[in-house]
Amino acid sequence: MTAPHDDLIRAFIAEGREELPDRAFDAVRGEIHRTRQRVVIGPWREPQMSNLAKVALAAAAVVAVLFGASRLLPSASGPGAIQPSPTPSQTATPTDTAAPSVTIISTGQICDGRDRTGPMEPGMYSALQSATRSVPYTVEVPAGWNLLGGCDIGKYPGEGGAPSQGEVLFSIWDVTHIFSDACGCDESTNVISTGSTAAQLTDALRSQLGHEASATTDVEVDGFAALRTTLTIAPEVDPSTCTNGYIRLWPAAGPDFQGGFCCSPKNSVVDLRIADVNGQRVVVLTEHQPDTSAQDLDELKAIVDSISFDATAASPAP
Amino acid sequence: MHRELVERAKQGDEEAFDALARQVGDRCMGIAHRILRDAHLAEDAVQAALVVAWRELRTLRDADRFEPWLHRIVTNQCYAEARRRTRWSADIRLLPIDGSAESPGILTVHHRDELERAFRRLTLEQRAVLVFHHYLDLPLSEVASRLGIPLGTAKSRLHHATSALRASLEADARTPTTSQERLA
Repeated sequence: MTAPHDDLIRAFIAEGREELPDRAFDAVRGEIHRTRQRVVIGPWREPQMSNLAKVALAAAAVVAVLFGASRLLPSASGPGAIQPSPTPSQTATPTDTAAPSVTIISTGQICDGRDRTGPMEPGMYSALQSATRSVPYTVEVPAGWNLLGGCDIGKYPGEGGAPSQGEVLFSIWDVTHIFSDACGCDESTNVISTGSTAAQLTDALRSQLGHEASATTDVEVDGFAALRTTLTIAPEVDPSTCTNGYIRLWPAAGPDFQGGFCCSPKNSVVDLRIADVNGQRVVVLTEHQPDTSAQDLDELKAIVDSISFDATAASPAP
Repeated sequence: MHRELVERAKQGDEEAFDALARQVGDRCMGIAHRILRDAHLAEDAVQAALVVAWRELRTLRDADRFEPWLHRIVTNQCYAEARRRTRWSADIRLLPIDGSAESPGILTVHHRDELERAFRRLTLEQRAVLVFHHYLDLPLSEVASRLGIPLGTAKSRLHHATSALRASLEADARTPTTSQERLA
């Protein structure tokens, strides 16, 4: 027996596209030609393998690794010794791509409406004024950083530039509204206006559910007065239980409250500097993880310190 | 049906994988489009999933389980694609809601609108359970297996999702004066 409306629900789920376009198959064909298949080593998961055999195989592997290491590594006290870095930086996950066709993004304009993801050439990048960005700016990006989706700048993204557990991020936002609950965002019920001043926005963010906000401090960004507050995604919040499965602090500027800043992993630290640039509020956002290396934090700070706002183009707040 | 192609593809045969992809791609698109409710995102998710499947194919032990294995990859790519796009949509074009153009059947435009709103409030994980259960017509035990979640979790997600969709229709039924003007 089905409940009332279940036939409607089934009909709703039944609707949708059923055809993958040829261009997608062609793209896959091109991509797999450049992608090496992962090599599977050892019958580790074969059920017929006895426990004794597993132990023996594991022991043999350990001995082989130790033997190999003793032959290959230089003596720690020898003249050619390589000292480990005190704060090793994270490395990107190695891929199995044999000859990746990675397009390096050249210095110049970003946030120009193009959905681009890829490693950035170190240097200066500029974002022009747009419907969702009232103050143009320029930043200097060091080596090893990526453009993510056209505007965000980050390290250690997931596949295709998707949010990841180890990500480090920099981005700049016009924030007009936030969600009252970052874990329960709903464009139709819990969007709240945040006024026009830095103080109004920090007050709203400090009362937002889903994270722990630090005290607000006075700072400067590119010589402009700013308020700084740090939001730490609350340890008790499991993003996978949030609406759509992610934390979302605010929607993008615009009438329909779509998009916005989302997907910070559990325990990540979102550092906000909310500047007043000739009367226009600008949010400078960085995000890092508890285990982000000191080097990455230094680079993140260097990007923030390099910001140059084009204050003359700042449009006054409505 | 796919066993021979899967075995050949596992040996690195790109032609075989291409043929395999063309056999299963439409079904993957059906799943992705129903989870994401957006054809562009769904296409990107399926494309990414097929590349992941090629890369990881040698880890698949049972060739007969290729399609269920691929469906889990597609689902995970849907989650990733939705999160990726949400974050970035501040400065790129905002994708319009990808409404269905199918014949109305038993669904009125009004019902569809209410269900669409309610569906978009569900988590992606809840949507996936609904789609695997209703679209692929799988029993919950198989849904749980394909998604790699405990059976209890699958039941709970289905219960929550179905209740939310029913509630949207019931609430709407209590407001008979609702105008068609606000419909998409």
